[in-house]
Amino acid sequence: MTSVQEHAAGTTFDEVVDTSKVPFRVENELLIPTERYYHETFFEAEKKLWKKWWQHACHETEIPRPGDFTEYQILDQSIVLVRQQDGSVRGFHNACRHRGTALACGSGTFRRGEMVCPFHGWRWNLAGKNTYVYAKDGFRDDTVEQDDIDLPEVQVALRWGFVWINLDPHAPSLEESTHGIGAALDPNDFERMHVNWWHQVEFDANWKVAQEAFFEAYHVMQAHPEMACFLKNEDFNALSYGHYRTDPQGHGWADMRAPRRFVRPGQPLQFRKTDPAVKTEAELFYASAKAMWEGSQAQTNAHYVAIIEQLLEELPRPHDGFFPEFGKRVYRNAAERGVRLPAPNPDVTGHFAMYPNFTGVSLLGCALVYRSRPHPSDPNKCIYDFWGLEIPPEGTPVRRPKIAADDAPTWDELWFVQQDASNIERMQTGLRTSGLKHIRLGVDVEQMIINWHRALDRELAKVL
Amino acid sequence: MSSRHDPAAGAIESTAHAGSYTARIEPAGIDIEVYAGETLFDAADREGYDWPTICGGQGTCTHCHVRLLDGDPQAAAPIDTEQERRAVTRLARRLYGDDPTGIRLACQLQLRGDVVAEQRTFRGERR
Repeated sequence: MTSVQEHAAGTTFDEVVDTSKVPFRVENELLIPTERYYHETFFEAEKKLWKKWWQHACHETEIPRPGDFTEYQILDQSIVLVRQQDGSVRGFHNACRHRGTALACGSGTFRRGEMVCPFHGWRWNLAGKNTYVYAKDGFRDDTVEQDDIDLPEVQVALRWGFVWINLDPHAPSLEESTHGIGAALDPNDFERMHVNWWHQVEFDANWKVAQEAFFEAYHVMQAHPEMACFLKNEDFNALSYGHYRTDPQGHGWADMRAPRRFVRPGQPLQFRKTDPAVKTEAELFYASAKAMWEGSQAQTNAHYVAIIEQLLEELPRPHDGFFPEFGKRVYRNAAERGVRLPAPNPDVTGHFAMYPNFTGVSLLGCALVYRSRPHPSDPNKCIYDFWGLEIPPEGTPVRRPKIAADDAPTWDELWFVQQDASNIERMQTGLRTSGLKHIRLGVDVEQMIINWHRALDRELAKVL
Repeated sequence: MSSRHDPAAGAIESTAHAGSYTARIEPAGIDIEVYAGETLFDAADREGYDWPTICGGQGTCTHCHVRLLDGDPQAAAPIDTEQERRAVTRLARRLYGDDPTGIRLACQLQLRGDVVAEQRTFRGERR
């Protein structure tokens, strides 16, 4: 069995990989075997890839100053990220070279430019070089050679405001691993965003189940009725959300210019969400923005919602000219607040799933992004992070984000996010029932999931 | 290993201090300028002093602790970690007749005004 990848642009990706050794491999890309979401064998296979994947370990503002550190855990591995004097970041395996004590717990600051082991007082500078071994005369020289007591590093890269790590010293660079999606993400100016709030939750669900809940907008009608103006069934046309680009590395992103892959004879290439006589595009846009703002405190902001409300009053139905005027007023409003918004760019995406575990939505300097990580030992659990991000007024000082900070909306207040979260554990329940052998995916509306699993099988095939 | 930081990217902005306060340290009789947002421990280090510590400022050894003697009670930012709260309780019991008044860990202490503080083992040693 081979997998030949169709490239989004229509060209054929020429990597041919034998996936026959992959357990529970995808043979029909539209039917995903359920065991991939709970079976120990599959979970064990995936573990090999976490040691090779680029993954975002923290937001840059968690470690803003030299000496600031944070610990990142993936499965049973612990990495400490340390801001250096020159502003760069280094990552180290978080273990004392003496007897293994973790040098960092959680987040904090290594003061005086040194890491000190709390057990016997061995010390390292911020670059990981050992500077002190207590009572060194008591150790035989060949067991405390400098190279062997310096902290081993992991690959680190800074991009989109996050610190990315890769445990594989031979892995291709982050740039190389994300070149397909990079041009679509860059124009969001994520690197200028600050964290408005951050929540971390443990779901009783596989990490892929959790993140795939955010890989499509097909669920809007049923799961987010406010966002869909309570339009029911086909009155709200999900196929309008069928325009995604994907690349062979597993990344996917929304792009309304992307052709649908599965068009029945006589169908239009693009659908409206609904009949404009029922709801105009402007009214749907308002419903969407209002739901996102009220229920997620992210993806948009109160200023944008107010501008929409004002325009809907000023421009009577069918609200002709709404969108160009909205754009003008948003930029004007942002400038008045001292916010430098991203320059308009036709290539920007507002919804993406970056392989393997970085997902998000973004609009005009506001974003909601997600990270899903497997539980260290249980394929039926995961650790899920949600960040509400926004570009603040120029000169706003950096605040180190904290999980569920005092001024963050409470998890219960984030009802829009809850609407998504509520289905995640139910999916895991259903996926484990013996009567369900595979899930089935819509060709276009769930294309990001399809493409993601294709990439996963290709990568698994290379390590098994 | 690859590592990149683009100062122009803006996520990490200037850490220039918005203001500063004076900590008079007794019995050494030394004044230390503490920037807003900086700990007393970091300020002493920045000024070249070898402030007492075993843990390196991780809030565990308690060796860096001070007792605030004088000044505006609002001048010290309040304790905001359980770790420091426990350390203060322990220090009060061991050294101050169970009276926790004014006891703080220098490695956690940020200022909002000028203070006078006692550090019993520090005599102005430099690194």
